[in-house]
Amino acid sequence: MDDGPEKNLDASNEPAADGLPMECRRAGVLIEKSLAGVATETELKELKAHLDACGDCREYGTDAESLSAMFRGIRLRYPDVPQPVVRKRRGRLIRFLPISLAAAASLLLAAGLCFYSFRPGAGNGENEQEEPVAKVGTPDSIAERLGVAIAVKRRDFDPLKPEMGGRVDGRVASMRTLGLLIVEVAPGSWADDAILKPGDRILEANGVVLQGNEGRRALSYMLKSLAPDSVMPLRIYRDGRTFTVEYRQPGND
Amino acid sequence: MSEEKEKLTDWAVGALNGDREALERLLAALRPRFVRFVLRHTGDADLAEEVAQETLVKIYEKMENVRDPKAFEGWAFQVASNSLRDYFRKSKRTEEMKERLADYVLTTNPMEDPAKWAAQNELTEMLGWTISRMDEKHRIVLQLHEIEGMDHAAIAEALDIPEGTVWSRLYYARKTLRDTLKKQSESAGGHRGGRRT
Repeated sequence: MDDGPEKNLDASNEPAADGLPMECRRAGVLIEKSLAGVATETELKELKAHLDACGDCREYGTDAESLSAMFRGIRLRYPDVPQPVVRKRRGRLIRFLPISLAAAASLLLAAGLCFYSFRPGAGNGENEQEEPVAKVGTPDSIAERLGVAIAVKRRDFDPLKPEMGGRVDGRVASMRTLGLLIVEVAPGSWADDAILKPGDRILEANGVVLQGNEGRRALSYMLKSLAPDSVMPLRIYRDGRTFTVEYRQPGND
Repeated sequence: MSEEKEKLTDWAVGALNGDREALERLLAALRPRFVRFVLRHTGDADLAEEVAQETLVKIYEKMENVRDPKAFEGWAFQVASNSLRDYFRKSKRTEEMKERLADYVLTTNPMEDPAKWAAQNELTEMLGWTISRMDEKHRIVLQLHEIEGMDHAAIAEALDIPEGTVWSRLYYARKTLRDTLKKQSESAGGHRGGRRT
């Protein structure tokens, strides 16, 4: 794309809105090359000659260097290597994920899996029955008992399945504001019988508002500790309205 | 083409042809770069996650508009840049930002300790805000070069423009940024601290 050393370097294809003389615009371009460290000897000499003669460009050159330093500082501060995402929480800095987990998370995302998910039988209504398997950590009572896979963090959204909550009311939804998002429903599960669908959100369980990771843990705990044959109401959000379904804990039969 | 760039292009070819797995890999590779991109503009980790996610959804929805797989990366970052710009447009009161920016930029010299300068998240955010108000074609080269750290050859390829154009747009962008900052500091009124020397 670059024809030769001189040809493409003048800035005359840019709007000359600032009405600068051509030598100054050329100097500006040479300043860019010199800041990037790719200016040739000839170009540097040319630039120096112009800066010696032009006060405005000299001043601009200093400012350009400052701006370049600003950006370098920003790149240093947030380097390219995968870093733990550091979040502020009520004034304290908490390490969010160690590097290896973050890497694993992106691999899982790439493979199209979610945290706390399972793989229901392939397709809709095919006979292949796969055992539900909690993907991460200890067995998850939400997957086991309700038969749903939920997403609690934005990173669990699958952008390839926008119908599963990539957008709510035309906006990209914030998981932090609308409960626990159901991303999969296992055929034959309680959720399936209750006619819950991917995209539904569990807002409350037993009157307790569920939000983010804390909400997920709360729901999991409530499901584990609910007495046999007891009922727990779940408030569900779907398409702008809410309704309640009841989860009944299996009895001791 | 660098190795990573080749991979991205291969995946873009697949994705544009309906290969689901290629699309997943492409998005998975771009996602952390978007997070970092926004983080470098705002210093806000939560926001970075949100805008990155918004960008991925938009890319998925609009990607049929991309005809050349080699230009996918550049196009994707334009989407990210616009998402960021929209966020800044919606959320900040202009006057307040102008004043805060003028206050800081003049009295702090990034040349002395650039890393320390950037460690002040508020400054980073205000700079990001100023950049977001530039027009798109200049803003994107500035962001790809200074924020994302791409070299001029990679930018030329990503945006499908000649290398000379990259330099001239970079110059124009930097000049605009500097003139904007200068104007802001001057209009914040005969200023506390005086001019930086």
